Amino acid sequence: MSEPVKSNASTRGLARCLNAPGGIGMKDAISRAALHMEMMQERTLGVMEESFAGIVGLLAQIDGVPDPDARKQVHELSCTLAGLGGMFGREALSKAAYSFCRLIDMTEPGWDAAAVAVHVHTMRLLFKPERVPADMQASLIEGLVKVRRTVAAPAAG
Amino acid sequence: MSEDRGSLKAELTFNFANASVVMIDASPISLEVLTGILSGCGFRKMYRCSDMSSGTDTVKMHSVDLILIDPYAFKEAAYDFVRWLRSERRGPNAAVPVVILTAYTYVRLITAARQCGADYVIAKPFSTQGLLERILWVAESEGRRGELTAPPELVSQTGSGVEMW
Repeated sequence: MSEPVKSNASTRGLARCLNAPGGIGMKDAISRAALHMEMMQERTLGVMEESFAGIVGLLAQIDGVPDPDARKQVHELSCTLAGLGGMFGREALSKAAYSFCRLIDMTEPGWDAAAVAVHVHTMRLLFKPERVPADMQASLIEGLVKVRRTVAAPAAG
Repeated sequence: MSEDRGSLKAELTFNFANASVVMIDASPISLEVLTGILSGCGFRKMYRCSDMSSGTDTVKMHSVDLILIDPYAFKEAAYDFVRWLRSERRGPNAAVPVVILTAYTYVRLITAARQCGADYVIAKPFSTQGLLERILWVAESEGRRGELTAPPELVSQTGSGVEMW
């Protein structure tokens, strides 16, 4: 950590915004933000669907081990899903996508096609969370963790 | 989040209308979502930067109150940016809170964030409440970087935040 830098918090910076006239509280802020999120929901889900389609398209072209560029693109698209899913009612999808990112990294420079396929199928299922009961969603995520452990075991040995 | 902490925040009001925030993220949709959340929280002066170059230019040209950055696409350049910011001791933005927002948290990122001088790492996806609580926390703690320890519940209860102070 770099050496602390002092600032005069009372006259500038975010501190001056606290309890300032015309302010709002946490509840109001959350409600207002929720309205913005609602307006963005359709567009964001569209981007997520495009990202997933991008992953599927890239995987279809991979024969054996992907080249670094394809690996990077798949990772980026999965990271997009991981970052956005949970903000729009798809928490389990976020977790599955995060697990996929971890898998891609832990197998580098190799590739485990079976483990990749399990992740992709799981993400496809979790895109429609209303069709998957909550306990099953949790089981699916647990399953992905087990898959990663299984993949990691030979690498560690 | 503990109830005590939650009720404390529930009583607090804030007006970010005159606060400037810089968002640096290569993903247009992430910038859009973040803009929506911050708008809801009352921020009006928001600079959206999709690359490090525009982020650096913005910080050079404006006095800002908060920087939110996703280093995923920028790798080391993002940490270099924070390092540079902290090194500009006479600059108006040297002490500005820097919060790292990222969907992919891994050990190297946490280490790099700590070493470059960032204040906080928040894992995506985050809730409005989670982000706002941390913004309020850095607002309350401003000017005391290095002297404080974040309340443990702020770090551990949600499982998404990694405290950097």
